[in-house]
Amino acid sequence: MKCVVCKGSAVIDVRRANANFCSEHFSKFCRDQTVRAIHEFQMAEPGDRLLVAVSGGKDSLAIWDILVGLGYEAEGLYVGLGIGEYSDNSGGYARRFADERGLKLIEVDLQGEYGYDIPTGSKAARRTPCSACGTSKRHIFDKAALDGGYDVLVTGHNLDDEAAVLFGNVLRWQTEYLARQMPVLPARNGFPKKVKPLVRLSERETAAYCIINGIDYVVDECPMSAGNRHLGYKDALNDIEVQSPGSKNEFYNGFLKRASQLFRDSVGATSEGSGDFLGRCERCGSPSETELCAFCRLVDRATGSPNESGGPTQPVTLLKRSEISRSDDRPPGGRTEVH
Amino acid sequence: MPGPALVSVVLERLEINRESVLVIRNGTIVPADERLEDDDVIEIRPVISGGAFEDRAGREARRLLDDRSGRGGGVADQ
Repeated sequence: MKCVVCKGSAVIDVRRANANFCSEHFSKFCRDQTVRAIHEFQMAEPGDRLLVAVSGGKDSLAIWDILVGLGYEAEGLYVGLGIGEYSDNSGGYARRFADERGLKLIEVDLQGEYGYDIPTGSKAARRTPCSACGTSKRHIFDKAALDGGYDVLVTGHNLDDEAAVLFGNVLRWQTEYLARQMPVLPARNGFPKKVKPLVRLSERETAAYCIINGIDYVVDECPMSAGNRHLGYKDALNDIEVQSPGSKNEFYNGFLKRASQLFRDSVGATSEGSGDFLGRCERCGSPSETELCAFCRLVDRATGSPNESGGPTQPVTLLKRSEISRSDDRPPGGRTEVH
Repeated sequence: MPGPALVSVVLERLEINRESVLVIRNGTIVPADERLEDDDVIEIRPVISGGAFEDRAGREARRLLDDRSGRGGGVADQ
């Protein structure tokens, strides 16, 4: 098998591109696909300060490596979730990656900062671990990006991740979710700009990028994600992909090009999910449609503090975007809500 | 498994979807048409990660799948 570019020995076949690559040209393929996504969706400008949410896994370390290689000022953020040996290992991979390259890695420890970890906190809050984890990470990512003055928050979501989410949303025709499923979300109402530059690369390709470029990553899956529903979607899509290479890319990128605008038009600015009409969490100042934001409610339930009962909170007066400034008059503690 | 055999054939015999793994020999990825010898030791590394996805559509679809498989409405959220 020969590299389609240099005719040297290929190490990987990328059937969806009808191409085989040697190590050097596969790495270039990955960088090119990332650059294309960044430009196509105006994810970042030269000179932007990027904060990369890093888990120690293949995707986040690959995108961090690619962005630094492209010349971006990109720093990392690792959240210690307290998931036993898995968290110990994943944190180690993130730290080693940063140390070996002289990159800055910000660390936030959930137990140390907020008094709970995912295994015990999710149980106490009667939430699934993935739900509690997602709420916690979104809050911490948003807060770190805004507090640190970063222009863009980067996550390592790849083509398989996005195609699986799209598949799930299409199965149930969740039009509001479909309207919001974009690889870039602009900064608004106390949320940082969020981007997913790996949407043109499959996770087989990000894993290969790491191995080829000597990036050690945590291979083990999070033990708490066992049975995650999206794994089933990924399997289904890969069954299609193996029969018809390029299907995942056509499905997701075809949606972005030809369908997503239709859902955005139909949902419109009246949607709560648009984020144009949000109040603020009375404790942490995050955008929220209730007195306490989802994260503060989770903290209370997970730690048994003030609103332990976890009962419904009162809706707050919703404000137009123009009425909400990004000033510093809110209490410390960050801001959140699903973005 | 006896060799020689192509990587793609080994994966087929093991009923592993080639899109969901990388095959590694001596620290190097080997492509699907590479011939593996009898004494080669390989790692078949899964590349599919679950992640912390959370959306209502997923929860509902999971419930449907569980219902369909007779597992009795095992909703992801407790």
